[in-house]
Amino acid sequence: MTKPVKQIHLAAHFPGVNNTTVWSDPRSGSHIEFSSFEHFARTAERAKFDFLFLAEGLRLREQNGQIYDLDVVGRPDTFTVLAALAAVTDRLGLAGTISSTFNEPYEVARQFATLDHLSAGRAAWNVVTSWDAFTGENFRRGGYLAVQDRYARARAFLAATLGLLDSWQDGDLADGPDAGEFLNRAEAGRFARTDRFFDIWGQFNVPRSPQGRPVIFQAGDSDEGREFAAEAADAIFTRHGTRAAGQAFYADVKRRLPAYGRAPDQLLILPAATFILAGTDAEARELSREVRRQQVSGQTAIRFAEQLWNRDLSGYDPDGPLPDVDPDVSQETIAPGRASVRAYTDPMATAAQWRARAEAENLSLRELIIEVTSRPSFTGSPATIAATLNDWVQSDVSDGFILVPHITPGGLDEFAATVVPLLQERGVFRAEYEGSTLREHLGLAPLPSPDRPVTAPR
Amino acid sequence: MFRYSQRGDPEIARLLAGLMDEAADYAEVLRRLWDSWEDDAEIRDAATGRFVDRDKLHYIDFAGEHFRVKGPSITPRPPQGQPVIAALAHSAAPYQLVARAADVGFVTPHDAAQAAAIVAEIRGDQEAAGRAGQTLHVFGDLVVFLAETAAAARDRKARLDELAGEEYRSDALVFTGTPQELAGLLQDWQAAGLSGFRLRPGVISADLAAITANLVPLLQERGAFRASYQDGTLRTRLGLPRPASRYAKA
Repeated sequence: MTKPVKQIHLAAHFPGVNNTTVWSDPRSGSHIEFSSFEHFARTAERAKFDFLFLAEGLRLREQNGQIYDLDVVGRPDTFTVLAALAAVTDRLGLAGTISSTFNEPYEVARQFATLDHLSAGRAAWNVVTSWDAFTGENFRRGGYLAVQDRYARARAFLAATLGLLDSWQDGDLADGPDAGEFLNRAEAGRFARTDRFFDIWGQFNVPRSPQGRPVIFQAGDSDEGREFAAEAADAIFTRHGTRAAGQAFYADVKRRLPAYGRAPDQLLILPAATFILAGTDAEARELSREVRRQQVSGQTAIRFAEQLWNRDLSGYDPDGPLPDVDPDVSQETIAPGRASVRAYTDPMATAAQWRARAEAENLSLRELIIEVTSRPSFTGSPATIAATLNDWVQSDVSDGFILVPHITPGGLDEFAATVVPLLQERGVFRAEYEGSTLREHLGLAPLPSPDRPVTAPR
Repeated sequence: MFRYSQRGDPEIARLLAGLMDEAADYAEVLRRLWDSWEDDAEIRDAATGRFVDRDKLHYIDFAGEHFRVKGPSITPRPPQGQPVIAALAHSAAPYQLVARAADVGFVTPHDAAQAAAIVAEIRGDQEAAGRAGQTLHVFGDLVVFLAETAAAARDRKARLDELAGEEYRSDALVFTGTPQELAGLLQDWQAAGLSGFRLRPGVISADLAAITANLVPLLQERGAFRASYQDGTLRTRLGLPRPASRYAKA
């Protein structure tokens, strides 16, 4: 039996506050003004993408006790931008990253229900955790959550939020003024929840939204993160370096679903990926080398090395050899709040690997950093990229991709104009939107209206 | 549970004053965060590789009784520098909050004399808060039911009350009458010291249309309301200066 051809899902990640974004390019526009978001969203919608994705950060990045100034700094508020985008798009899904650590379920439930109403069923929530005291310094509760509790709170937060959203049923609002009463069911919105993290009760004040709830994304590669996704998410936002690693991840996560009574197609695997597009494969490879050198300047290379060495390396030459000192493992990280730093679990061993590789391949510090920090990327002509994307999806590396251009806001334009038509010709990507909600774009079944309140009045 | 009838109770008054202090801290943190990026902090200096001039980003290091906030803001300084802050107030402690922390206060007098008294109280509080001479608007809130005759407006509201089974009540004066009468009332209250009004349409579909179609032209004829927007921000429209960042070196 031949395997059915999968439809590819594509999403557009607004360029972020990291070195993937080449802000020094003359074509690079504002990261704040609405016109940039509008341009980006219109391109994605013209190309019939599933959704637009916004990342989040709750404290400006620092290194060596100073604001990190080499990348884009600053971003506008997620909900405000997505709500404005809802008004200038019709079909494009709108996904926002919102922390379960420094927010409250009642507020987040209202915000997503509102976005789902304003967009007629296009909202998605990327549920993330933030646990470090560094971020907490911007919030009333401070660094209150132990590392090992971040997913426990996320689970409780998600359950509480979904409970609030399910406190309204379809048909709770009366039809028009002649009905006499505004509500058909006086207890609409009543909720109560008590657990380790929350003790809340009251009446939720936003009627049931078109999708019932936002599409739920989970991001994070840890075992606990994968389990959380298998239990509760509609899609998982991930990164993986190679085709084989992607296939292993895909199989691992999908394997976890039956334990929660879920089918494999109820959780989509959507890795982030950059791309470098040019007329020919050779031109694209050359352009890719150029872009990587823009992304990793000499200064950036030093800063990246400092994150592993955990010490000031400003005296080293990025075009010279790797530092001859060992990483300082005696003190707290010099780059607090960076997820990438947490990945360096054994700095001594990683430094030894980097040194060995630099020596074997005759790489300078900068060249080494360019290699070790490279992210999944599709490089080539439109035909090559279309073929590769399709191959990866059909080979169960993923169900699609969240594309991260390196130029704001026009970095998706060429992809939309040249790669998407080739995917459409192959019959693996929609030529027109078939549904109107994001759940429909993603092939997720509609959620039934709850037949009774999921939480009893207190 | 706090009931409005208990507002004279000393314990309630103490709680209310505490809440207002917290709200003032909150507004202070907002303003500091909006100032925490100087206007020209984003430099995009390709030559040095720096996107921002970090000397123009500032920790606010707020530490109050209720919370601490480090900063800087995640979002660069907005066009107005500081967006306009407004608060609704009905009694002494909230009037003090308006005087300390707001650009616009919404108040609910029921006649011109009350309007004058409230404005005087807020102006006194404003001076005590060290803000004498700063523009602080006091807007009157009104619920309005409009019709071509005063009797028709009263009848319309009476019919709605009957449908609802009780008389509609509000913290603000519930006005029923003609657009001409309302225009006169607004001008009287303006003379008593209010600088603007927040009109709450009794029935959005009917009264909002009556406000825009009938009340506004009357005020325009009397030279009491703009006929078109000038360019500029909301601050410009309200005659509020654009504040410089408190952290910018002069």
